Amino acid sequence: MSRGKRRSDGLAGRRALYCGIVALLIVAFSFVAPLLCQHDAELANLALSNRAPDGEFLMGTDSLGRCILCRVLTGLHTTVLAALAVVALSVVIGSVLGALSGYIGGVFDSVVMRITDAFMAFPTLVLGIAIAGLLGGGLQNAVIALVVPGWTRFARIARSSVLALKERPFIQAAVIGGLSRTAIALKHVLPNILPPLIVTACLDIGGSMLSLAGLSFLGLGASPPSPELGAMINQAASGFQTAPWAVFAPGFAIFLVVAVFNYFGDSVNEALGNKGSLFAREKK
Amino acid sequence: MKALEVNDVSKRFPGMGRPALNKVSFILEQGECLGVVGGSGSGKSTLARVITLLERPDGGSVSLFGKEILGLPRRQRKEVYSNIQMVFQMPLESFDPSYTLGASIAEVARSFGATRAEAKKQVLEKLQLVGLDESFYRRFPSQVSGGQCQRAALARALTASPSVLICDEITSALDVSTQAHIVSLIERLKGKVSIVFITHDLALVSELADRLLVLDEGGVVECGPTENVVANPQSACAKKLMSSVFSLSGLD
Repeated sequence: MSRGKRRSDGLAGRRALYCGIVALLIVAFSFVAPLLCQHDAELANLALSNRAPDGEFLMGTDSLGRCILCRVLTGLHTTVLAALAVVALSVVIGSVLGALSGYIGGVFDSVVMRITDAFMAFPTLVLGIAIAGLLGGGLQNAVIALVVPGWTRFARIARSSVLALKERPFIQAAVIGGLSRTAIALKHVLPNILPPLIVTACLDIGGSMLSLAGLSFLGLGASPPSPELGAMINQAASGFQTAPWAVFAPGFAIFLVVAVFNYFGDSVNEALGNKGSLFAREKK
Repeated sequence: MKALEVNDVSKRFPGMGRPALNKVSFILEQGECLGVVGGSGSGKSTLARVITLLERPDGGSVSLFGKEILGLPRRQRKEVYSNIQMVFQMPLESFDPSYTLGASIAEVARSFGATRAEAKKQVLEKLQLVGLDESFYRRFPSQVSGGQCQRAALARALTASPSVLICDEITSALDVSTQAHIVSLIERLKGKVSIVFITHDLALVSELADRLLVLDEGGVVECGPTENVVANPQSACAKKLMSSVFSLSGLD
């Protein structure tokens, strides 16, 4: 896109662009969010427990008297980054292995696919819980526990995209045009397998946040007292009738982030339509 | 001089009863235009893919100016592609939707050693040759018609300055008037480039080809000068193809 040669993708393309910007803003905000806190997100003060939202605590306090707004802001950072890390690692590992597998074929393909099958035989969360249990608690281990079963989906998608792409005439035209295998892989295969991967990745972010919350609930994710959105909901759920705000605030934050990323994934999907390519650009 | 010599080429796809190609042999003389005709499933496209090394045949040999090209290692194929080029059946499908036509064509020029500036110059020249103005350099495949795209595909093939050009059903996805434009372009290339013109349209190729090769069920059933084959088809398949041409023209 060096010379601004974007193909006009019309309305759907613009919507994808706006959603992408909002999604990026959310990520950027999650970095600065902890700095906006006026209270300590982890310090308990039972004198202030379960206060309804007021001028000092805009979203009230939880059962241990901690400012919920601060915990949401700090938790947003943890949750968003961890979910992004899960998805990013899964996408990178999965698509590199899958794409190579499809492109190279032969024995390498068979080996990678059998490994994928083995991982896919277990339900994601069950395998995740088992791995997190082996590794012990902590957010970092929770991320690893979700990447291990998570990459296989992307490997499958990347491989099947590459296989479909290999038969397309423009790849064969590039072969006849004398391009090397590496050049074809980088210039023609990679840009054309990205769209389905991006769509799946965006839709996966929401799922990853929920899975992380699940692991936290089991004590295998973020360890208390450090705030994590999913864990916050689970901790506050028991007091829902007396202090509903403690559930609503992190719930709304998760809803917002998941909705934006899902909408982004959808709009990318829609923008692609039958054009089959997200990036339209001119070679330098 | 023989530009291309195909000898006893056979190919059987797994799960298919009869072979896609059954001991196909022919010779393409330099500067000649050879028409390859046959119905669908007769092995025409497989033949094109074998000659352009996209498909490995089960047996036989293909030599280019006397040099065997089957089984060449990947690195030496580039030299083959500087001599043999192909235009595909589906024009829009044969360009990567992510790049402009100019970029896709320039890429071929670059791969055969042109610098960036030279490549651009060559592309503009070839575009002009096929009747497309400069504006097409910056257009994406989705922004041009099928006929324009097929011209660009021809320009891409010519950018490599090949001595042999394989045209695999290049007109079948186009409407009749656009077909005529493309055929006249091929006509202008005759003599300068040796051409293998693959089609199911006998009427079209009989105006173009010096010789005809009729394929049926993967085998060569007839081969000879165009006038002879058209005027006096010997095989049942050629007769059927001929009669379908006449029955259509009789409808007018």
